[in-house]
Amino acid sequence: MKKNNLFLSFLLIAFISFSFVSCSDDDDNTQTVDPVDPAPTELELKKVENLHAPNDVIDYATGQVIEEKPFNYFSFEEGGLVDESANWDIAFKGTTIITNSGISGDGSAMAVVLDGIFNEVLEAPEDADFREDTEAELAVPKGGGNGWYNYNPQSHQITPIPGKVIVIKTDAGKYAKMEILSYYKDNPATIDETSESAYYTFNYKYQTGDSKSLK
Amino acid sequence: MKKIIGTLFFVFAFINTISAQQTQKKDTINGLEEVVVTATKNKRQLSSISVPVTLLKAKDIEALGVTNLKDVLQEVTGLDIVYDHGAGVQLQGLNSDYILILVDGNPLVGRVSGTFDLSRLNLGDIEQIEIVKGPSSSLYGSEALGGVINIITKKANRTSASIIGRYATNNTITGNAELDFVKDKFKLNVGLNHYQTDGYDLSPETFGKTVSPFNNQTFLTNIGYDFTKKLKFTVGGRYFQEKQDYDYLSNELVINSEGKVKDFFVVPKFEYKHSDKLQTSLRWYYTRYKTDSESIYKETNENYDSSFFKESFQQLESQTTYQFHKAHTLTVGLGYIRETVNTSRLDADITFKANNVFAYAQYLWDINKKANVTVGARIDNHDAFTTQFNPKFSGFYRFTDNFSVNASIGTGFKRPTFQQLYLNFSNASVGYTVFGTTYVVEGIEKLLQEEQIKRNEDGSPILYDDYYKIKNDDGKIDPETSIGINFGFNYSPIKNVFIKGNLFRNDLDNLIESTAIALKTNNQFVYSYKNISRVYTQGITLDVSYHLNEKIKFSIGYQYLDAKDKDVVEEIKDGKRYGRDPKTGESYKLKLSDYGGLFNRSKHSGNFKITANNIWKKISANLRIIYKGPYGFADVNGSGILDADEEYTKGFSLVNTNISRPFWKDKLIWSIGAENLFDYTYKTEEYTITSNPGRILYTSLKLNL
Repeated sequence: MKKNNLFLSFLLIAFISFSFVSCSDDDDNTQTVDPVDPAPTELELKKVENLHAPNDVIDYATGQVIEEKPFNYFSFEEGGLVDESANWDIAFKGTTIITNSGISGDGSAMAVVLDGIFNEVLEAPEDADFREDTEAELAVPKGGGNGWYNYNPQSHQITPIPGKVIVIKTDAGKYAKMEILSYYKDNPATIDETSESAYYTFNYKYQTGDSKSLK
Repeated sequence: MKKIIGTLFFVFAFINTISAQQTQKKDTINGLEEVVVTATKNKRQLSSISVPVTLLKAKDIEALGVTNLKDVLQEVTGLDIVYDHGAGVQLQGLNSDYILILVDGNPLVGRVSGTFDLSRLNLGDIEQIEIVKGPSSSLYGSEALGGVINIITKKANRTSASIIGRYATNNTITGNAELDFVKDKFKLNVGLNHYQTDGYDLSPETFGKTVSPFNNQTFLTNIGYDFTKKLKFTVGGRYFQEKQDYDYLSNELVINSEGKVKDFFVVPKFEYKHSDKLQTSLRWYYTRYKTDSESIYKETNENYDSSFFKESFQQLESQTTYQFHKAHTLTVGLGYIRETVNTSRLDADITFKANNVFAYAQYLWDINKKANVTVGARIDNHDAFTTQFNPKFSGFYRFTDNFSVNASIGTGFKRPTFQQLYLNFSNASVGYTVFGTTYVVEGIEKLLQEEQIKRNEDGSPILYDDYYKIKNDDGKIDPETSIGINFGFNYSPIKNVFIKGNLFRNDLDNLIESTAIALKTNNQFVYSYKNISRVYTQGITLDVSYHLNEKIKFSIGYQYLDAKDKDVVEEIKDGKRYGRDPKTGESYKLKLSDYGGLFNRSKHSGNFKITANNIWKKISANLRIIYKGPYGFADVNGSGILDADEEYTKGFSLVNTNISRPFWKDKLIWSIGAENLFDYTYKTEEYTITSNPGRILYTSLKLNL
């Protein structure tokens, strides 16, 4: 019995002291009136449909480029295509996506391809994780199974790799995330011989403020 | 694993209870007189074998009315035929790569991308086919990882002859002649087979046929001479040739291609019987396999492409069996294998050679009439990889005359292929390069000198981690390995009902896959190989047969199969695998329940057969329904694995039938029948089963002399 009493009193003391600590915590909180970083509001989900970015015309027998096509430059700030001279962030041609930096442009846009679900990427990664386009590798790597898409050598179909989220640090130093949904016109559920290729459909969220939040 | 053991225990307990209640007369367990040789490398009664064995006898095979081995195996419970570079057999969910095909115990060679194409084996001159499930590397070495299929050829026992002519849909003509000749100590068996077909076309809207016309010829022989009662000599031989001519389009130009396949073997063998207790044999087996392909532009006759592949394999093996105190049988063997490969897929005309020395021992103890155990192991010492040791343990116990169980555990291995070891191949049209592991260092060195490897900004070449790993391992690559467990039972609950079941689990490790090792200046990769994936297959097979009377028999077979990549399972658990909604294109995290396991494997498969012998005017007939449940054919949504409904075929059944009637005191037998009676074909936008030609009707005549 005595032991039990001792145990109970110990519990009581522990409880009281815990309450004290909690109270003082509350006191601290009430003093900070304006939080520096407010709970981030959810960004608007935007969708780009059928961004047409045809590839160069190539003679596959010789590998020679017959007709060169231009890149299509995209600005997250503008929410659409812009001129090459403007402050573009990324650009599309065929399956190639370049960023406005390194070997691809004079700007300072960078990108990184993350593994994950679009809705679960809530914050841009550390700046050190972003990459410029280099000779060895683009920030969004080229090639089937390598960057953002899979290539099926039998059907020659291009399909986005599931679970790839491209996070971009824009030329203006803001952050955006995007998920490519389709490479074919009107995002068809099944791709067949009639599907027209080089039409990008993608979701993105753009953080207009100086925050890394991509919620 | 726990689940399996739990289920095992439950099944065991359940059956044991029932069998205790039943008391049955003798001789009800199937086929007491049936003898098999493959499971122990010695003749042994099927009814007391401690590993799962399926036996197909000549008369059962003949009753099917089919002409090729693949058609026979297709109908066996737990076996499937998967078409990937040929018709390969799948057993316990393991592909052709892991199944060894033997003729009289001698391994057949000539695999294309791991598949041994069974369509090279026409039926004829077959005594019986023995299928041993579970790892058998403890006796047969490499490739006997999932099991062994042994074709026992006919040996002459009396002078006789037979001729078969058969005509079927697609202008398919088969002719088979066999001659057995026996005189005193001399025995001769000769078989000749000719097969030709016009092929078929499942997509007339596209250029070229689905299967182009081809023809092949097989010559088989077995010669035996008994020098004395103790010393016997036999020599077996086979020659096979196939020719196929086909047209296809390349850049809208018609290419005509002629493909040839040839194989050949000869196997002289001495058997010496010191006494009933001690026997020894020595044999030399030599086989060659060769393919040739010549392609020309049809319009100009200019050469488009030509390629060849040559493989030779020889094996010298001695085997001694010693029986002591009646109950103990010891078998020891010693052998040497030499293989060569030469192919046009190499830079220079080099013939690769490999040597393998092996030894095995097996001890079989018949403890009493009810129980026996077998312990065995084999060591393979090979040029190119670490020495392999493969043990196996199995046991058999007969509870009652109507109920027996068997259990076995063993390991298996498959050696790296010549391709994985020595290849040096660059694809001319796409530009990628593949090196066998032993060639990686030299090959990369050469590409660096030729400035074909891309460089970083600082000038260092772009070589990936796997390049350094292979380099550090001196280009060695380990064989693929497995552990297999089987637990089976034979049970006759009531008169004329026979139940045979088997639970299995195979754990495969070190599976070899290709990996990128460097980036080329043309932005293509250099690939090599590494031991990477781990896979398991597990399931149950069940065969129930009911003999209504002497003449009519029903049977049902079923297999449940679960085969998965262990790493994929772990990645899904860790939330690192994604699927894609085909409608929206959005990604989502995959759940374990989404994962359908390995491709080309039906979770459920089965068969139902009715056989009626000699029912009316000596007519015999059978009807066989072969069911194949839905299986994954390819990744459609880019997840890399089987996880979406649109990646599965529908389940389907094929119905086969054969009716035969003898005339003139069985001298002449006339058969008619159908394969795929209801003309089932599978063709969707995503996937076509090209191996299924639709309904085949046939008629055949057999003349016995």
